[in-house]
Amino acid sequence: MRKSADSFCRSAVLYFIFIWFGLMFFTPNLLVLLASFLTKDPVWFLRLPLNLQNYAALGDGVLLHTILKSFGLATCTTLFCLLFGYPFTYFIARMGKDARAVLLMLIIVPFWTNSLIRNYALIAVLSDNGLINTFLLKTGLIREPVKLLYTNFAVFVGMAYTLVPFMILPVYAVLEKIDRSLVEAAADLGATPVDIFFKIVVPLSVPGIVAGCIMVFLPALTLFYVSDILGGADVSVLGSVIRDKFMVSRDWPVGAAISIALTLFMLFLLHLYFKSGNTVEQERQLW
Amino acid sequence: MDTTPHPLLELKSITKFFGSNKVLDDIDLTVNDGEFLTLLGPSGCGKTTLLRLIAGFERPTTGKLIMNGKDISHLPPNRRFVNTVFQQYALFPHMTVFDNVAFGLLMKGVPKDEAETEVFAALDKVKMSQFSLRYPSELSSGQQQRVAMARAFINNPKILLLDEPLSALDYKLRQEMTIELKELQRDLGVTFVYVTHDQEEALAMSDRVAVLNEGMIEQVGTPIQIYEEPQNMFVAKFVGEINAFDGMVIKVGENDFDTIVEGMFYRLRKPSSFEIVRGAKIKVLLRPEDMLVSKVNDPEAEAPENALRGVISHLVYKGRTIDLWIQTAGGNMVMATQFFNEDDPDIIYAVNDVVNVSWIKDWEVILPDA
Repeated sequence: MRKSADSFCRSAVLYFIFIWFGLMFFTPNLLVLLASFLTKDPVWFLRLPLNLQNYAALGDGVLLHTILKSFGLATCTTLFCLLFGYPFTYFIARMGKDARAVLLMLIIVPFWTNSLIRNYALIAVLSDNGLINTFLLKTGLIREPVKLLYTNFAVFVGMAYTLVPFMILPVYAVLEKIDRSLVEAAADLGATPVDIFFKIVVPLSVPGIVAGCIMVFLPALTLFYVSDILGGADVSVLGSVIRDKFMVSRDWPVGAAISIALTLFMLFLLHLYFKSGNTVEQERQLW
Repeated sequence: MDTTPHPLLELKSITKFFGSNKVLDDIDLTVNDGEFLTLLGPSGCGKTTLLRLIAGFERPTTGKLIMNGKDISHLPPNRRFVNTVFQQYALFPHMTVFDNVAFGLLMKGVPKDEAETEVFAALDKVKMSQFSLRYPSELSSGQQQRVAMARAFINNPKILLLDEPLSALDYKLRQEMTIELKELQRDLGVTFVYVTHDQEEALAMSDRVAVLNEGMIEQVGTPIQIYEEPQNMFVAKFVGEINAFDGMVIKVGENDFDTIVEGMFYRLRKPSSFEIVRGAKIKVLLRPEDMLVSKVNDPEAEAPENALRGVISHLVYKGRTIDLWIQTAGGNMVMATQFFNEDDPDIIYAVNDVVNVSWIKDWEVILPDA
């Protein structure tokens, strides 16, 4: 009796997950894919016939320029998040149990404030009479305020600030699971702490690094409000372009085509990663 | 051959606390060059902590580790000349068997081509050469164990530390590996410090055994000493099966003394380990295989001198031997192992048979009753 009740619960949960994924992820993406092949309509937004023209818009000079700029910004953000976030997380993962809980909490607490508000707060830090400029002026390092706000640098700071937890958390999840005895075995075999870090810890945390990079890179391409609040006049984020296509110029098909192109690009990166063979698998099945 | 033992590693009054929890209590132990020393004890006795102290993963709270005259208490693991075979092997999952075994050499800066020869020599010793390109996840646990061995001994450690390396293997494989490990140790000539809770393993492989309990060493000795001459009740009971009788000393002679065991009078040889005094309570210890059992055809007849009367309450046939549990008239349960003897038809026992139980004279061990 119990067994059949169990298996009923199990299949109920499975069905729920499938339906949820179907409704919330699969169908919307399918609709976007469909929209990317339709034609723009001033009243209904979309109409037949099907065409491939929307994808041709990707080759447009201005758009291409924005895409390259956005990719540059996203790459810088991801690199920074990795280079800052990884050692930071390694440090946390090596702390005592209580200290770890407190530090992780401190990373998560800012999440409870809306990220829009947090980015507005950055204005107070970066503006001409903001914290940084005031400090530099007071200490006499500069005579005139440095222009920080409404630059690409400001957008980079906002992106990095907003997204660094998305690097820290997946990396932490992997680092924390690394078997302590592997580190001990390496030390036992004569490895210095530096050797252990680069030959054992980093290779074993590649799955976390990849997950973190994906979770930072994609939002860094699309978080338009960061560039709206902190950026200059020229659009530097692909997300802004997509938003404008849908909300301003009402060109849904081209907006959808850019979205799909972005998704395909991420899939391509994932494919490269899995093909490299450096997957979680070997680690998972060891014992 | 020089047989006097050379101390290689000396542990001097080692105490270890984890928080307020005392794990090791004033341990003094010498590891001799070239020997196979086993730390034997139940789980939680501190044997693994002691091993980790030698490896350098833990620091003693007080006390010192002296290796070849040098204090190594505060050296990190990578600067000690010891290597460890971990309980779960701890092979690097992202490296092939070859890379795992080569790791220690590369850390030492041995050139690649030189390392390759050595790695294959080490893999040959554990019969794993043909698996050099496999990943640990593609090996059975027995194969992983061999790789872990090779990875450790390739570095020519002064001491090889083994933390229950056979515990993850099934019974048959464990038996085989017991013999292989001992052969490997002889072949390499390396000092082994081996941790186990399995007394059979300990007795089968070791030159010396240190029995630990609750952070203290109960006895150090050869397997024969540990088994035949336990120094206290813990060692007696932990290593193998034993029958313990309560006795009372009634008269002390020059070389022997008189005692009452289970209401029977016995004259036993005086033990050398402690002073027997009149009126003292003692324990008389006997291994099951030292017990003599004979069937009683006439239960009305009195038991002969130096024998206890009992009834078989339980028996287990084991092929080569038969184990009997005998309920004595005094209320004790005595275990006796009898070897089959083709000429002796008497060995066919059944539950509820009445028997006389005695033991081979002078094979008993006398301990004070604490």
